Order: sequence, then C-alpha cells, then structure tokens
Amino acid sequence: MYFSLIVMFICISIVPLFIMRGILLVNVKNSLYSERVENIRQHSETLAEQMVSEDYFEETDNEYINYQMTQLASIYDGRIIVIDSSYTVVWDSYYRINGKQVISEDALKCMRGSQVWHHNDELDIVELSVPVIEETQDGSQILGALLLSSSTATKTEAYIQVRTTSTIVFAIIAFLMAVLVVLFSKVFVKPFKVLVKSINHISEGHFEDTVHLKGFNEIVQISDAFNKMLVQLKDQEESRQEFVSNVSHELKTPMTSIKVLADSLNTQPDAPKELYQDFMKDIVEEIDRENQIINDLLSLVKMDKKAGELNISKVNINEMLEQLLKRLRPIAAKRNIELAFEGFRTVHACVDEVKLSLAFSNLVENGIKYNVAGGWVKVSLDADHNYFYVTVSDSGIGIPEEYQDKIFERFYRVDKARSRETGGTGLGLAITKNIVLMHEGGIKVKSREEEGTVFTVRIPLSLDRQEV
Amino acid sequence: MIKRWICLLILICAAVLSAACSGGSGIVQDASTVDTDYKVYCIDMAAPALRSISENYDSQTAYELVGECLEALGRDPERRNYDPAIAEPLMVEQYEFDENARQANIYFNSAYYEMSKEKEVLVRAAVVMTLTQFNSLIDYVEFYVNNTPLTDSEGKAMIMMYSDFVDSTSADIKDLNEETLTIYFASTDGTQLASEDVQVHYRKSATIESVVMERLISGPLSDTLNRTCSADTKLNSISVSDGLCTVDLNGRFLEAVDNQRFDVRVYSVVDSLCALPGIERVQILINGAVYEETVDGISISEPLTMNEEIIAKPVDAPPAVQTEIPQTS
Repeated sequence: MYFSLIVMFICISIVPLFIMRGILLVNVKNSLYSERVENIRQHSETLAEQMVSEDYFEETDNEYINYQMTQLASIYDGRIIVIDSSYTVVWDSYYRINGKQVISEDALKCMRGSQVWHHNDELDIVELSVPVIEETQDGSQILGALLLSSSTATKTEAYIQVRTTSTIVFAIIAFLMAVLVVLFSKVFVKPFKVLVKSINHISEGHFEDTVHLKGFNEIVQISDAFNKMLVQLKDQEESRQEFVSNVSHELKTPMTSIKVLADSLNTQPDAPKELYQDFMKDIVEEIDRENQIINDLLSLVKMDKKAGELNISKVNINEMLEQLLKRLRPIAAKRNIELAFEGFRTVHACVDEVKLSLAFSNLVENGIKYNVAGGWVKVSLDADHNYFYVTVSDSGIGIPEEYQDKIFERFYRVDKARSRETGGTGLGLAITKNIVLMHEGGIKVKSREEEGTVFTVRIPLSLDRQEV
Repeated sequence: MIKRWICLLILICAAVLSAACSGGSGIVQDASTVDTDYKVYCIDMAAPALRSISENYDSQTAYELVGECLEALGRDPERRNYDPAIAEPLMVEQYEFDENARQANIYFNSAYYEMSKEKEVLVRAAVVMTLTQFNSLIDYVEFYVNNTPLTDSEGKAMIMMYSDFVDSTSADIKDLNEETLTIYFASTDGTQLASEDVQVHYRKSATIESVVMERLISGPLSDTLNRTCSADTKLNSISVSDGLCTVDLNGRFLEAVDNQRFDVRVYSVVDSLCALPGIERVQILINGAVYEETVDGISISEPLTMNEEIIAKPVDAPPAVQTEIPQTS
C-alpha cells in the first residue's frame, strides 16, 4: 500500500506539473517563432505591393527592389527567392538557383494564393511564402511569390534558455514534492501498521487486550469495529463454553437417574418383580429422554453446519398448520387444552415444509406444556405482499420479562424444577429460532406472567424477493 | 545429403532476395554501382505537391527505359490519393531517344496546352525527374506538343535536366559559406572575357569550385555579358589536387554559343577557376576523356593556366553586379 500510495501521489502531483511545463514550452516556442514570422511577413507584404506597383515581373532589374531584398535577407539572416507565375526563379539572394523552377510544397501552395509558413526544426529556420497578388477590376491575379527563409537561431537560443531554466525549477519542485509525498505516505500508512501489530498481538492469545488507534476518523472507526468484533468473539467463546457445559450436564442427568435406579435394584437382593418392572419403565423413560436430547442436539448442530440447505417447495401454509394441530390435538386433549386455528387468508409460500413444521410444532407444544389445565392455544395465519405471519398464543403461565430474551438460548429453562416435570430437552425454542432465521424471517415473544404468551413468527413468502 | 540440399536452398533464397531487393534489373542495374531506390514521380493535387513512389525498372536499353518510365508515369498510383503525371486527356503520342546526346524527346498531344500553369510545371517536373534519375543514362529531355518543341519565355526550345527543378528552398543557414566569386563571361561582342562578381551562399559540404562552375553554366546576371557555354552543359565531376583542377564536362561543352570562339569558352572556365586561391592550372576533360582536337587554335589536351590577355581591359568592362545603394528610387 505504501508503494502504491507513493506512485499515486506522484502521478497526481508531479505528472500534471510536467504536462503543464510541456504545454508552456510549446506555447513559448510558437510565440517566439511567430514573432519572427510576423516581422518578416509585414516587410514582405510591403515588398510584394511594391512589386505589383512597379511591374517588377515585367522588368526584374529593378535596382530599388533588389536592393531592399538584399537588405531584408541580411537583416533576417536568411534567403529571399522570387518566383514568377511560371514558378521560375527570377531572384535568389544566394545566387544559386536563378532560372530554375521551384516545385516545393510551400511554393505550390503559396502560388494558389495563400501565405504559408512553418518552422523547420532540423535547420532551425522559419520559412514564409507570400504570394504577389495584383488586384484588378476583373479579379486578382497572382504574379509570382516571395519565398523567404530566416534563421531562428537566436529565437531557439532564447527558447532553450527558458526550457533549461524551467527544467531546473520544475525538477527541484518535483524533487521536493517527491520527498513530501514519501513522508506523508509514511505517516498515512503508520496507523495501519500499528493496527496489524495489535491484531497480531491479540490473535496470539492476548484476548483481553483491545486495539487503540488514533488519527483519522476512519482509522478510529476501524479500531472500534475491531474491538466490537473482539467482544463478540469473547461472547461467542463464553457461550460455546457454556453450551458445552450445559450439554454435558443435560446428558449426564438422565444417566445419573438410570444409575440410581439400577444401583438400587442391584443393592436389593430380593426385590419383587413389580419393583423391577416399575424401575425398568423409569429407566426406559430416561433412555428415551436422553435419545431425544441427543437427536435434538444433532439436528441443531446439523442446522448450524449446513445453514443454507433448505428444501424449498411451494407449500400451502394453512394446510400445514391444520395438519400440525391435528397431530397435536390428542396431547392437548390429555390436559383439556383447546387448540384453535384462524386463517385470515390462504397463504402459499416457498419454504422448507419439514423444518417449518417442526418449528411451529415446537411453539404449539410449548404452548400446551406451559399451560394451565382447561386452557387454550390459538394459532393464527395472516400475510401481506412480502411476508406471512403466524402467531401462537396461549393462556399459559407466561414468561417473566427479564427472561424473555434468554428463552431462545439452548438448554435455557425459566424454572428448572418445573421443566423437569413437563419434560422436553430445553432445545425446542433454539431449534425453532434457528429454522426461522434460516428462512430469513424473525420471531418475537410477548408475555405476561399468569396470563399467557404470544409468539409471532414472520417468514418471507419467497426467499428471493425480500426487499420492501 | 540433407545438409547439402539445405545449403543449396539457402543459396537460392539469398540470390532471389538480393535480386528482389535491387531497384530493378537490366540496364538500370548495370549503370549504377550501388543498389539505389528508383522512383516514379506523381502528383498530389490536394496538397499540392510532387510526390514519389518507389518503382522497379527492368528495361535492357535506354530507349526501352524511356518507354517504361512513360508507362509508369501514366499508371494510377493505387495506394494513395495521388494522380499519375500523365493522365487523360494528356497523352504521349510518341517518343525518341538520342543516344549520343543522351536526350529523350517526348511528343504530347495538344491537351498539354490546356493545363493550368501549376499542373503544367508539376507534369513537366514529374516527367523530367523520372526520366533523368538514372545515373547518366538519360541526361536531357525535350517536350514536343503537336510536333512543335516547347519553348521558354524567350522563345528558345527548352532542353530540361534534373537540376532544373528545385523541390526544397530550405537553406541550412547555420552551415553556409559566403563568398564573393569572380566569374568570367563573354563580353558584349563575344570576343573577350569580362568578369562579374557575385556573392554566393553555399553549403559547407559543397566545394567552391563546383559553385563556380554552377554559376558559369547558369549564365551571367548582368545584361551586358553573355554566357560562354550552353545552359545544358553538365558538370560530371570536379576535383582539385596540388594546384591542378580537373573539370569533367559533358559533350555539350563543345557546342558554340552565339558563334563565340572556342578559346573564349575555354578560358571562361580556366580564368574563373584560377581566380580561386589554390588553383593554378586547369585540365578540362570531355566525358572523362582528354579531348585531343585543336579548335580555333586552342587545345585542351594539356592543363591550361590563367589567360589575362583575353580579358577585356577595365575601360570596356561593364560594372560588377554587386548591388549598390541606388541614387534614384
């Protein structure tokens, strides 16, 4: 990161600097040369006009004009060539090509009536071609052309001066900027290095420490978020340990009962058959209980591992709930509890039927278990565009407010003594919550002691479109 | 066994490649000592400009070469937006080649006169430069339109050479020498020599003696002097060694101009060159060989020195052509 920061800063700061310098220099060059061209142009336009008025092309021995041209050539350290309308040289200040025909691109273009100039970098001269045009009533006639070249050595020298100075100045600025960039990058990167060090230190096992970073807001935010994550990790670790100890405890309990019963049978040499039968029944009950705990645990663990594996199909929720209640009616009847279903509308949803059935089943079973004799359990179903809502309400013993958060934890019992009688594994609500979360839904509880409890479950109709 | 075949294959390939890389075959190849790139000139009316594209020539004789050049000049240069130099309605009706004078005569139809001045100078440049690019195979070109020779502004038939056309007037001003030369031309009556001083600028890489010859062939600037040798005289080579300057001119030097005597012509060369420091004697050659004949009482088989007597006395001499400050405007 350090390196790419430096590269980036250099690109942003130094590169535009040099681009600017380049543009500046091009402009300086152009204006230097065009200044020379302008001077020559004015002189040569005057000369051209004289040539027209003095009929130079009729009688090229015009001493006055020839003298002026020699002067012009020497002032501008260059060469003047005059060609007539057949491109033949009638005057050459170098006396080299008199009588020859000029077919250079500039001359040809100029003889079409326009002025042409360019700078020849190789020879360091500027070349200007000016047509000699006679304006008559019938139109304009091109009598010939003036081809001038002038050495721009002095201008080039001036330009090189500017260029050298600017190179030095810009180089110094660039160097200073580079130094600043490197320093700044170092400062910028430092908090990240500290962060890495802290994190490494913590992950080596010093889980009590936290990260303290100062500086930019974002850096502080990173360190805060990291600390929050640490707290969560700690909590998770704690709850894992607690879970393991709970599991061990729960598994041990039936075992202890079995041992007690078996021991007592063993120590009584002449126990009657009925006693054996009785104790065996109890032992079998305990074994069943242990089995149930282990099965629930396994399914919970399975759900944890394969969190995404839902067997989705389009399910008629009303039918599912009614079947569920039908199955549970005998159990409810044993305690004289009334089961009722209220479906406000027909709901079809894409869900995992087996799992969801289990989830609601747990809720209803709890409603039956933690109820008074002759009480009721009501299941209602409603839906809107995105979700369907199932409420399971009962007239049971209720859950004290301070424990309402904890009931979803594994093995949590509000009243341990009471639960022993009512049976169960303590995992039901945990399993239910897990299934609800797998469907990306939500579960809420409202309860008053001695009055009753309402569980509200919200499940998306389809797992694809969830946004409101 | 296989190795031998491979060697043979490589040799064949090398031979084919070297043949392909040359500028052509036939007489063009024989005439040049090095592999040169030959071209054909064509016209870019959009710029406007004269352009050249490379071309191979295979003719075996110079006469065929003329035909091959004319054909190339009439071909449409397919690759770019250029026009051929000889295009409808302009047509070449026939052509001749004079081996002794190394001159090609090209006969055009009357469409030649219908061209604009710009087009005409471009066509003329393209044809002449294409024909005369081969090292001394073709030296001169003359045009005929409707069987009458093309004349210049003074009514003289135009015999054109490669050097008649200038495609760049850019001068390397930093790298120039400036000298005042004294050139001897014929006096008004043509019997004596009179000098003309000219201030020339020339590239440092050129020799001053070649510039002197160039000026001499180019002709006098002053109206009162006359040229001594034909404007189409070609300078083959010139060198100076140990005070002796050897000048090799082509056969045109032997042509008389304005009925002048041979010694006037000869001494215009000798005296102009001897006016240069470092030259005391001048040996004139014609096409590389010594000319044995005596003409008008003078022979150039031996080196000659400066002849002061043939120079007209100052009282007869016209003023030097150095621009002076005019008295009247």
